[in-house]
Amino acid sequence: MEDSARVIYNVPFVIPIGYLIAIYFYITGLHMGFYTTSVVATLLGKQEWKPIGKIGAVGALIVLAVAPIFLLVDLTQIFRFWHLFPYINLRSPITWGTFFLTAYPPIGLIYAWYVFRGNYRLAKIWGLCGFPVAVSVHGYTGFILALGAGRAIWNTSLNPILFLVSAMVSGLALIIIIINIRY
Amino acid sequence: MTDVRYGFVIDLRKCIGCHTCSVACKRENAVPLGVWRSWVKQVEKGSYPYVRKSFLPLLCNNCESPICVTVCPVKASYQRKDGIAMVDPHRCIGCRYCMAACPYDVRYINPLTPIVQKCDWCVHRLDQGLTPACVEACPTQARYIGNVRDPQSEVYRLIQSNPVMVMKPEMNTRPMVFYINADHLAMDARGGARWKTVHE
Repeated sequence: MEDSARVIYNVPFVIPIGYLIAIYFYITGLHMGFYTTSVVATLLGKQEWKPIGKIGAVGALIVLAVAPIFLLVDLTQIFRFWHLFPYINLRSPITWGTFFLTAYPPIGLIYAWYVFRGNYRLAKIWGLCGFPVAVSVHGYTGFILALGAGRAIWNTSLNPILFLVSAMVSGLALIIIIINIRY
Repeated sequence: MTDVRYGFVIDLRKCIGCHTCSVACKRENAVPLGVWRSWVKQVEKGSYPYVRKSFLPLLCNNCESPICVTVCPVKASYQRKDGIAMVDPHRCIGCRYCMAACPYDVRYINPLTPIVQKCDWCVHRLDQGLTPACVEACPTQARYIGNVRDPQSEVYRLIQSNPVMVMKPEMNTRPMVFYINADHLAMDARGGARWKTVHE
């Protein structure tokens, strides 16, 4: 009882990072799951897995085209988004993410192109090249929360791994749903 | 001659919880309605007949190693040589990551010019040799500001000769607002939450 205190007045805490960012994290997670599943299906190269490789390659591109829109809309100064490119702070995970998000689309496009042309030798090479970028695109969001030291539950070093694992699961799940719709 | 590093001392033995600092800050910095740079947390502790109300004036700690400056993706948050963390109003993109990373929740989005702003210990006044508006306005002179590296300053004397506490030392940010005679229940962010588990 002596350890009790009642806050009579305090300025309420405003939630700074809202639902748009939560949706963005979810979408990049789907992207990583799509891409990883697709690359694995391409690499193992079984004939009956080739539709999975195609679904994943296209899905990853579509999903990653949608994801940055949520980031842009979330900014309070939307037209200053270009500040992210010239003004770089290498200690900030958002800066890392800017370059991962920019680097993925060309690699993903080339990979999807070769998958659909049936050139599986080059598709394997480009798929492996894009794999670290695709993992980083989602992995950096785990670092965003892990380095936000003010929030106790975010600030754990397990957060990036938790994000990657759950992303893998959600991407696989969406591919399963799409395949079942298709047939 | 030592260089300048500003530090803040709040003597809670003198604080009467009148919120004059909050009002003076709003007036000096034109802070819009609904957001605060500096405010006074009020905490009631104990049970009848042993009850005490304590006050905790809160403001930016202008830490030695600020998390907000580390995480800003565009370097809009920066730290001056004298240790004050500032926001460049022309560069901030409003991603609000600094607000999420700040352990003290002192940053806010200005609803009029939607960028992040924070208490900067009234640098425009400090640079002209004046004290911040809250220090100027405090009727009981419970707030002090000065150079913590200068042994002649009042702040140096208070920090050296009193038991002082800082907010959330476990965050390893080395905050530069020192509280004399602070109550640990008032400093604890979970003070209100714990009361709920005890009484409800």
